[in-house]
Amino acid sequence: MTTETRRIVFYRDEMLPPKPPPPATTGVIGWMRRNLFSDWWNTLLTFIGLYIIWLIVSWLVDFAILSAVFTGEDRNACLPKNGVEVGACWAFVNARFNQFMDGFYPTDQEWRYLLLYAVGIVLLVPLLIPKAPYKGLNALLLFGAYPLLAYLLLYGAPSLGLPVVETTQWGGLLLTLVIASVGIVISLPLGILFALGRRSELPVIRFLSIVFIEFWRGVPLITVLFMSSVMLPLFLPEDVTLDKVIRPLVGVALFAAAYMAEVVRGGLQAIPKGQYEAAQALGLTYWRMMGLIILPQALKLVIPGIVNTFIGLFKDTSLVSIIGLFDLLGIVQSALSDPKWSTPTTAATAYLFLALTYWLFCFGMSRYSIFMERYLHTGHKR
Amino acid sequence: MKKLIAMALGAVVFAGVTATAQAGTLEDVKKKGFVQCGVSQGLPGFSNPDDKGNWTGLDVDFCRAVAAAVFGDPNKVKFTPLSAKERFTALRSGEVDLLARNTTWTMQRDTELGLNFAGVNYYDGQGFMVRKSLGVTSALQLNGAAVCTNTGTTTELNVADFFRSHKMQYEVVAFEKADEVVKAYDEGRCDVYTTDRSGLAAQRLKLKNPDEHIILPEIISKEPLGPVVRHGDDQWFDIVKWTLFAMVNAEELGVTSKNVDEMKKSTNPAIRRLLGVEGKFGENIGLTNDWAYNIVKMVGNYGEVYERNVGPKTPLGLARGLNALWNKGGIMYAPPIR
Amino acid sequence: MSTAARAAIRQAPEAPEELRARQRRLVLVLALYASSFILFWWAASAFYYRSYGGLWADLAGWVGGILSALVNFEGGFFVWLGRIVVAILSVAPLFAAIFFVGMGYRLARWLRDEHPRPASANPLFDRHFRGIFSELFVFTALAAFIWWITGNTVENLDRLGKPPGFEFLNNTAGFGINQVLFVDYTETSSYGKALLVGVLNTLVLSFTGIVLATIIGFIIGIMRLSHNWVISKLAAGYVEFFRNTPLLLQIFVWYNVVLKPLPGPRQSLEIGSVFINNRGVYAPKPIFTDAWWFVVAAFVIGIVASWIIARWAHRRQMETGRPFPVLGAALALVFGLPVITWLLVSLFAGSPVHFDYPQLRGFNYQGGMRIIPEFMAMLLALSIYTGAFIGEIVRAGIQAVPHGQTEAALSLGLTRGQMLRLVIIPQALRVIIPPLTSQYLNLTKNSSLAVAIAYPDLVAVGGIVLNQSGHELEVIAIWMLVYLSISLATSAFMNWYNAKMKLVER
Repeated sequence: MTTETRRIVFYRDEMLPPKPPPPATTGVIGWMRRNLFSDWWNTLLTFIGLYIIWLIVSWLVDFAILSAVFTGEDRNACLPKNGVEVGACWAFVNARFNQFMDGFYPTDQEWRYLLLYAVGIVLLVPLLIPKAPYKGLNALLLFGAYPLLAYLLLYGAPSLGLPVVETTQWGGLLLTLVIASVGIVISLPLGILFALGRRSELPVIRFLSIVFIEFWRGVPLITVLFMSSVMLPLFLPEDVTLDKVIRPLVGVALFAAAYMAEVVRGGLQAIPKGQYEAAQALGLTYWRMMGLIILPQALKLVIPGIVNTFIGLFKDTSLVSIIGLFDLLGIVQSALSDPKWSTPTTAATAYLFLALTYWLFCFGMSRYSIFMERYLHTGHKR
Repeated sequence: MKKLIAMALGAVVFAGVTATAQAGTLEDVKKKGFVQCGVSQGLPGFSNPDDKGNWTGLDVDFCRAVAAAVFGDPNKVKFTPLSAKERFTALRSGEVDLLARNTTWTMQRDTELGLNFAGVNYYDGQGFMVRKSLGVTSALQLNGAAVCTNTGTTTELNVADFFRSHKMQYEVVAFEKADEVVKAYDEGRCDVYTTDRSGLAAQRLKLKNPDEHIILPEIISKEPLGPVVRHGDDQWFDIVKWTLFAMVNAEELGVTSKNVDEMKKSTNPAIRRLLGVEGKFGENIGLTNDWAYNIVKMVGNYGEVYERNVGPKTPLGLARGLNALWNKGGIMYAPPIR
Repeated sequence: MSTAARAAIRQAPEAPEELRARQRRLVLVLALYASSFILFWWAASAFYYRSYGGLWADLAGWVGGILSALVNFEGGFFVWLGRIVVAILSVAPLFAAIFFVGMGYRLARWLRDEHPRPASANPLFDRHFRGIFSELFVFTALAAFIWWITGNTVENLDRLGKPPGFEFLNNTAGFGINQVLFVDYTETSSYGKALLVGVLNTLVLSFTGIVLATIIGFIIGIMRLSHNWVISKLAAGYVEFFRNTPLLLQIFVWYNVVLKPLPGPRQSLEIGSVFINNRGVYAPKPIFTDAWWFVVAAFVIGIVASWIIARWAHRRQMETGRPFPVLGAALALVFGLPVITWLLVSLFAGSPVHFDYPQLRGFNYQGGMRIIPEFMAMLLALSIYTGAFIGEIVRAGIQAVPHGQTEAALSLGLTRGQMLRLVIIPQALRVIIPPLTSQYLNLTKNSSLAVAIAYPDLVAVGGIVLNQSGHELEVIAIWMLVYLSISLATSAFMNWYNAKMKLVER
């Protein structure tokens, strides 16, 4: 007899639902185990890191908020109380705030630069948002009409009822912004010209561009500023004098132009040769080829680099304080020598204020550059 | 052609360029309507801006006196704050018409740098300031000290000479800006702060606790401080020079801003010549004859200006000393107007 | 086109209108060339008319001066440097003449050459012709501008009775400097020597700054790549904070907030025989006796021996595949040998080194080694600031090495250390070095900010010289020249190093 072995075939017609991974590898705990406590060395590092962060944060919170002095008329408010040192002396920054913002700009004329800031923001923000329309018109307004408006508002035009405010009265954040933005506006076109010159086929023009770029990149900005403040008067005819604020502007703009030229050159080099050849095959002249085909692509590629140059330029404006202009850093330095406010923490407070202000501007710009990098990157993905 | 290029450049660099005629400084000044005066970046008593940017001080008043002599209006003057480094270039390049920036008259500056010193409006000497707690009473005890000073001044050279000639060791810490020097000294980077004694008295006010510091008795140098003009414009040189002399002469003759109108009726021929009642002294230097009257009326005589800015009743509290008139024990002396 | 063909074309009879077109073109070329040449000479002569006074005569004097300056070195170097500049400036017309001859030659060749276009076409639309003339135009305009500036300067200086020249560098300086290294400088030395002290101070600051910034940068870069979240965020915070605030502000913070509030000399912090106060850091100064040379010799022998061993080990490994622990042997030789020598020398001839301890005498500590607070502040600010940038560069460099390289190295059985040393770092360095060079240069140039806090670097000392002597032009020229040479020398070195690293690539 044959025994029939009934083979029972068992199978599922559907998959088992996956079991959750062990709780120790997922969620917050898993993340922490992987990233913070994977072995004893890592754990040690985590604790050291946390301790350092704790030190910094606790000191900062205590200094800037908990034991800080916010109001007061003079240094007595910020002197150590009962032998205990107080924290930041914000009362000092508060008392001088107006001066930090605009130097000696007449109080009744302050609306002029505030209006200018407002117009600037209105014009700038749409330009920075890649999807906003009317880029051409916007740029024209910002780079064509706006500088004119800025000149009229800041310097004044008696015929329009705006009394003249001498540049010696400009200072603080206002002066910093003026120098930085004029530097940016001049250095970009100049930098493009020199980048084109450096890649030109014409030997003399190429040579001169290289000399220009390498010269300005090879010397420190401070010597350039000394040169512009001490030597420019010697370079000009006897009967021509340049304004004290314009002199360093010339230096800053040329200096930034050289760095800009190198950034733009990087972009030009990244454009495939086929683009040049195609443009030439179409019979475009040099300037049309550059203006219509090459530069739009090259500049788009190097926007992050351009923004980084702007950040450098913005930080470098602080150097004008060495040659005696009262920009943001300069005016704070000079306010620090006021005996009315001399306390152990005044300097630290003022520098903290400065660091935060500069940091906000620079960090904002660098975030924007990262944003543009990502935005443009997806555009190029194949 | 040069003009043409200058104008083209002027068009490019908008309002920053001011082209002035190449004629004498006086015409230039009259044409633009004010005297451009180079002053310090802030030295109480000599040239110091307040919170609102109004300038006061001995040097500032001298600039106003020149404006009063030229325009009959002491407010037709603009001030350019200059660092020690910029000051001579600014004057030479025509950026300022006159430099009144507590500048020491030395032979090298007078002859090599293309400058002319119009006289001395403050006779000074370099001194030392130290903390009382150090227990130092004489500069000769300063062997091994760290000394804070300004770069690019005669001070820096004098202190080197002093220590070297007394065979003493020292460390010099030289800052670009006067404020930085004071701050460094106040915070203990140096044992000694050295500059002109008037400057010591002025900068002392910027210390946290002025009473904790003393000025040592030694005076290690001669520092005649005076207004400076460009070399080569004699007319302007004369005006600045005689503005100073007029102020000193007025004090000597007892003419003050209060009694100047009565003094016009004086019978003293020296006073009559000074105030332009007799003679054409003003016209001879290209001004009006009441030039000195305007100076005294609107700014004051030398003594008044001194008392107002640096004298014993001011925070600086400097006695007249050498700066008293020659007939009162000092050496302030002006040639006569005749 | 062959010469024969060209000759054939030239001999071919020309149509009259073709000939006229050719003549027109010739006239146009000559007119343009002549007009730019005239414009150029107008500018040039405007300059010479104003300043001819003795430039050529001076030139002859300088040649003699150069020889004597080389013999007598008191500040002579800068005098010499300056003369070369002035000499180049004053023979500029010669360069210009060469340029114009060259351009004329190019034009003549262009006229002779056959063109794809007929001769009757307007040459203004010819690419080569336009190129030549735009160059002529740019050069002439630039030369005119430079001459205008030079002329103004010379006129201004003449008017002020201040002839330019570098002779003043031999005058007595008369001021003190509080950090003098390697040379002996006193108040009686010359301006030139004072500038030399400034240059040395700049170099010392830059060098130590570069070393420290590199260390900080590599630590930060590696921290940023750490898998540990806290550590990488900490490094990111460091980078974002220090990169986005001005260096000058950081210098002020280190100097005014951190270093100045240190206690005075009499309340110094003491760490062993090291004293820290608001006048600086004082440490014992080693003084070496003659016997020290044995130790130095042992050190040199150690280096040479390790180099020989390394070569031998390399060859053996190539031939037999057997590795040799080169690093350990080299370390033992380079450090072990001098230590043994030291001990031996101490045993027989007494200690080869004794120390000069700083002591509080009068106002300050005297003796020993001293680092002034200005140097400390500059060093800290420069290296921490640049360290943030270098950190980013290192991170980008290591990230640029494809992950496959790591996997391949591990699958070959290399240890983690070997993998880093032999695979990752050499490849990462190739990406890191070019931007690292520019950071080094930036640090060197940024060291000029020392002028803000009275560290006597080149710019600060130059400022004093400028002020005391009134020679702005010359001092600024020296600044520019020194920084340019440092920049060019560094980039030349780094280019060489870069090329050497590139050879590894196949």
